[in-house]
Amino acid sequence: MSNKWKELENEIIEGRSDSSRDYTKNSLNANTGFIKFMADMLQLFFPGMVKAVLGAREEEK
Amino acid sequence: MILNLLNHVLSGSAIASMSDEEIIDKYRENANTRYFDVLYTRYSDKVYAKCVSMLKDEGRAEDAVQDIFMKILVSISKFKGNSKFSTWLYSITYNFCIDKIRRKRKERSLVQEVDDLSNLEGVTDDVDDNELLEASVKQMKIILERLKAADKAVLLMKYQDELSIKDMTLVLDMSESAVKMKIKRAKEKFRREYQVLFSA
Repeated sequence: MSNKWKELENEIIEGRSDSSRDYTKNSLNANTGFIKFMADMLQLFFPGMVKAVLGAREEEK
Repeated sequence: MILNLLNHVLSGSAIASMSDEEIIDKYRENANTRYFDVLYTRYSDKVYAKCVSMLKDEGRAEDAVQDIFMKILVSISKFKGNSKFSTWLYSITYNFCIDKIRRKRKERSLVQEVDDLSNLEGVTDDVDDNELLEASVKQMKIILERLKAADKAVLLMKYQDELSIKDMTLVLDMSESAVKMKIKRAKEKFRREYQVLFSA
């Protein structure tokens, strides 16, 4: 039974177009780029705040 | 220049041979998106396939894939390694899709359904898998389209992702007995649909 379920998954993956793959990859890159940009800006203008947040995370660990 | 290029290629192949968990550790160390890209490349097609199965729409599935990976990126620090990364990723995928469908159709959530389950002591999954074997891939696709999102998710987890009951308890945040009951009911519904549609 499992194999048929895998077959179903493969059928969907194989039927996916390159443009669909490009669309999600490019959109994700744009979003991650924006997040990185915002993080860099925060680091640049509010380094104390970033340090405090990272410090709190370390303590959590 | 050539040395840099060589270094890049070599480190790329080194990353490719790393386990998911090693990649996550590296990503947490230096937030280099190359590590995240490897995870994306490994899993984006599988996440897409699950989203298509769940949402029944390729366009919505594409948007869901990027939303899910953004979620992963933002919450990767919450991954504690209690399960495999793939289990955690699929858990986010299924819950994301169920939430989307529930919001759209106001379908009852998994949690609400669990509230309906009573007397779960000693539940066993006694619906024979072989009875579902007769369905072809094409028939399975048709039946899945007719099932509720929560039932579909349970069947995909069990038969496509081959998650253990223990992993499913983590993904669904349910007890073992409740998971077994969910599987049993989903299989019964699948079998019923098969009989109605295909066994004349």
